[in-house]
Amino acid sequence: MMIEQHYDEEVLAEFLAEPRDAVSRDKHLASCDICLGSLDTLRATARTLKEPAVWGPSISTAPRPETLAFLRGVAKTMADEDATAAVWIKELLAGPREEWAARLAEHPEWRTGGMVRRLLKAGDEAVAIAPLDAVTITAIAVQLAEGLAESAYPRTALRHLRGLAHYDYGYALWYTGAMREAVETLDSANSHFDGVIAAEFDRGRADLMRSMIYDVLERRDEALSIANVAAAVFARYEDNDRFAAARSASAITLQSAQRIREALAIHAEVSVASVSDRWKVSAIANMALCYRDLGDFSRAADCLVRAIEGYERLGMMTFRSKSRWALADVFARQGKYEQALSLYDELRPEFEECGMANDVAMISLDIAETLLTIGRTDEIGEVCRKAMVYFVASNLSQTEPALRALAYVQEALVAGRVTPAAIRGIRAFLLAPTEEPVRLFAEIRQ
Amino acid sequence: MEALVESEALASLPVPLPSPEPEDIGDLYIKHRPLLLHIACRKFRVGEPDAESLLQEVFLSFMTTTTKVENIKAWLVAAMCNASRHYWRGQGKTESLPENFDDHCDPKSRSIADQVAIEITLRQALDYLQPRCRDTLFLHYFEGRSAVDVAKQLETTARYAEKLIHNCLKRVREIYFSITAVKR
Repeated sequence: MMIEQHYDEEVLAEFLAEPRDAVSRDKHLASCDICLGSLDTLRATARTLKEPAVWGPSISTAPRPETLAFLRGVAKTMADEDATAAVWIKELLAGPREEWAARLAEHPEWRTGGMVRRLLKAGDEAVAIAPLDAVTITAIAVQLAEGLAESAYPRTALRHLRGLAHYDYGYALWYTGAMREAVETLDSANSHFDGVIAAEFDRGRADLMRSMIYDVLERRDEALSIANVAAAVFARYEDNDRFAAARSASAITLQSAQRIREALAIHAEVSVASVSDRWKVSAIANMALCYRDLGDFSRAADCLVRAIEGYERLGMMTFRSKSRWALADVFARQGKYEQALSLYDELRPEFEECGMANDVAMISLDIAETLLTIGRTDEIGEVCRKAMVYFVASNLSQTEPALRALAYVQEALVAGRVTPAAIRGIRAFLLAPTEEPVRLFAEIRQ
Repeated sequence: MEALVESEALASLPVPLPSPEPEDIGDLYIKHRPLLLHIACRKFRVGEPDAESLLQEVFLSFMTTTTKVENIKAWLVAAMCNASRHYWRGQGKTESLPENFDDHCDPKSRSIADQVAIEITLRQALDYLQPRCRDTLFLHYFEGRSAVDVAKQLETTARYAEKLIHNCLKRVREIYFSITAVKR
């Protein structure tokens, strides 16, 4: 029987008992999306009817009064504690951080779960602007959480809260570069989370951070494995952004291990996933870096242009600047030196305005390197003199800037414009960057 | 490959529409309790009193976590699944658990919450059927009996049993779709 040129359910139901290839043998069904869709829903119903859960005795839908009262009671206690802690936290965190722990010791009444939660919130707010404050705040939160009376809180809620305090402390430590200490703190967080049957999600968050730390510590196999575990957790909890973060962490580890094509595939997957634009744009920017490392500069430039547009749309101007910088690097690698220099020149004032002294210094070295490459050596001195000022002003460490400076010397060597005395001067400068900042590149100009 | 096909088929049934999440923890408990208990009791075969305890633990953790939860229902469902698995590990369970004991990890496929919502709704739809119709579907789909077997059981002809199977399937689907339809 046909209704409006389509099979009715009775006819379609005949196909339920048929092998699947019966569909492709039927001329109408094989080419009719509407009938295929109807057949799919029929199959879904038939499959669900095979589930024991559909036929078992019904479960009481009436809420348990005692559970309801318990949960509402806990919620009220938490709300009361949080309200009181909102006042106390201002008093506690007044003045320099060296005074906070002592002040807490003077107020035993401040030792509540609400105060721990407030401290974690304060630590979270401080971490990007004052990381050392965040370390102190979260360290106090850990101390406070560990000292809370077992009898005052539900046992698992207390363990969970303690785990969260350790996690936040670990995050703050990671932010300041204290990687090994952060790992130890995450171990403590997990030992608490392990005793809480519904802390899997927060354990996933701790795993994601651990994965990023292991990448830095070059424990890459472990980093990959843990990031995959975290991604699976976030998928189950349907937290798409954290899923994207975990997948991106895997990809970045693969990049560190020079497994660029595998990393690129993951970034590409994230760039089109149902996640917030922030993660899509970051994935596109990371794809660009992969293409660059694979020598596909054209695709790298395309991705960077898209990332720059995306960051601008999102108002993430620092990230936009970094992507523009990467684009300038790609131009330089493509031999488009004038375009690269033009971008570098635009970027340096942006970094200066943002107070990003390290980046000002680094981009100055990029400019110098490009000028050297195209033979405009007489302009290098002024560029590098400014860089030296920034090196000194920001008390840079001797790692990346040192490597860049050495790379610069190599280029200069290739160009035959460096003397042994100049190299010694660079080394001396890097070891004692406060001495005669101008001298270094004045010698290179010889 | 078969699992993929099944997943695609499942994706074709409409899921009951979500309503906004309440802010009060008690209201949240009332709203999600049936779904979460169904998961613990039906998917993981946890006894109802123990399932209620697990439910309480899940809500406690939900209240304790300090991070923003993107999808509250999915969070509660996943936490309930984990709590149920944890429960059986603690009990040293040896008998077989459902095939989807470990959940799927593919965010593109239908979630366990949606699958369970479909089961609960279909169960509700079955309650509206005449007993004979319900029995017919039980015998054919759940017990896997042929139309001839169903006919014997219901003391009728095979041809009529076939007709009954089709009509009852059609009827339960009508009820299902009326439950899940958008109400204006």
